[in-house]
Amino acid sequence: MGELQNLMNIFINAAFAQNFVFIRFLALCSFVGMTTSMDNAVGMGGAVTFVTVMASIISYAVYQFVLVPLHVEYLQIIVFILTIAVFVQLVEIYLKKAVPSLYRAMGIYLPLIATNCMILAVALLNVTEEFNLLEATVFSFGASIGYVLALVVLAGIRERLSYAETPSILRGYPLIFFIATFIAVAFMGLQGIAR
Amino acid sequence: MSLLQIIIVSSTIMLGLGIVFGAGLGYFAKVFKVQENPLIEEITEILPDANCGACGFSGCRALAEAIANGKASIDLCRVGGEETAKNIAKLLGINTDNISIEKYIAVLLCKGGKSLAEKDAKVKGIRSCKIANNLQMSEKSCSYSCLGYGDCVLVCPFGAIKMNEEELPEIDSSLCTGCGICVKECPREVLKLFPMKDKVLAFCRNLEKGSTVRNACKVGCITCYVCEKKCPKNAIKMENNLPVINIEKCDLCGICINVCPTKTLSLLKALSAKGNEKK
Repeated sequence: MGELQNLMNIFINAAFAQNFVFIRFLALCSFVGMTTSMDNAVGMGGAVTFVTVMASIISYAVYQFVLVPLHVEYLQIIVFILTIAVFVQLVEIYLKKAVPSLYRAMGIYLPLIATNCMILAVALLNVTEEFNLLEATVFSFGASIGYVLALVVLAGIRERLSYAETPSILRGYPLIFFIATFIAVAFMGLQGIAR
Repeated sequence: MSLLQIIIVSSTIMLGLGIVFGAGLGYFAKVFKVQENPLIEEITEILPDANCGACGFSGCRALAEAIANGKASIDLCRVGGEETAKNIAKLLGINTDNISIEKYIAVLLCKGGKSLAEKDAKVKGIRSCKIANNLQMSEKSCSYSCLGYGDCVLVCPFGAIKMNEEELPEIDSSLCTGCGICVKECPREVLKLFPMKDKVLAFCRNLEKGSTVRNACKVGCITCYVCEKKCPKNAIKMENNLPVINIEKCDLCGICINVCPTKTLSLLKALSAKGNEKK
């Protein structure tokens, strides 16, 4: 298998076949919380993509060049969380300056990116799957593309739903979880298109 | 490796990483420092911090930003009223003499309580005005009446509304700030905002003709025209089967209140004073 094909495989696998929201059921909090409108979903997707890619590169480097030589691999979770928190803080400072409207719209969900389990899962999977730096970067990028895809799909549906007449017993979150379930079932059909 | 060694190595690594990351963040925060207008903070301090949204902005801080940027006028805060507006004006160096804001109060324009309004149904299940109105599930015969499930009690951010024994909301005039949130919430539109001063009001919203109202409620306006005929100032006109009182002509003589056969007309002040006595 060529190098490019291998990277492609990792990307497709992370984004679709093993989609972090619909197949692995991670990051559901922000998936439901930040899909009230398309703008919010895209903004959140961008912020999470940045944090995921940067945090996984830095945490990969820290793991390989600090933790492994010193034989303290057991520190990985706490170190990864520290790295993620730093990048979330960075994004928060940047957004407050550059896009204040998005900063306000995201509210509590912005600092909560730090507890987004998808990002920690990506950092940990990079280690357990024994990826090299390039593979880890592609994997984290694929994972966040899958996350953005999930957010945008649900946000599009919710924007239309707000104008629809829905049965009152399903209105609000119950209906959203039903929809998420159906999309997840559809994503199960993508199993096996990558390694 | 002994336990002590593990602890030392781990904490050294964490300390080192913390210092490196902290320095990076500190540098970044300095580069992207937000130059915020100090006025915003000061105006936010003055505003009542009720975050009710009656001004049309999403909260007190949003209003403070708009005022500081000159995009909103200083008298928008209904909760703070005149005092807040004057304090902001002082801060901004504006003349405070000609600032006067009328204080508003929410009034329930329905007297049809449990014992006075006819009932033709019994509602079981969730007691909510919104749901009852959407499903046309009114207990009372009058389709303009207060539903009496107390949605307004729940939304009032100041705790000014309580349900009385007649299952009608009672508004405490000392607590009501006139923010208008209950007015927006009420699906039957029986709550209205009025300037807080003496005023004769018709406490009925039923637009149907007299006989229908008489069958539905003991205190509804039956469109008898007595108040219109007896008013010495010709201040009352019937419109849509309800009396409309011209405030400029009315001198609060009280004749209409006495002649009204169903006691629909009342003095606004009398109502709020009664509310205070009970409290």
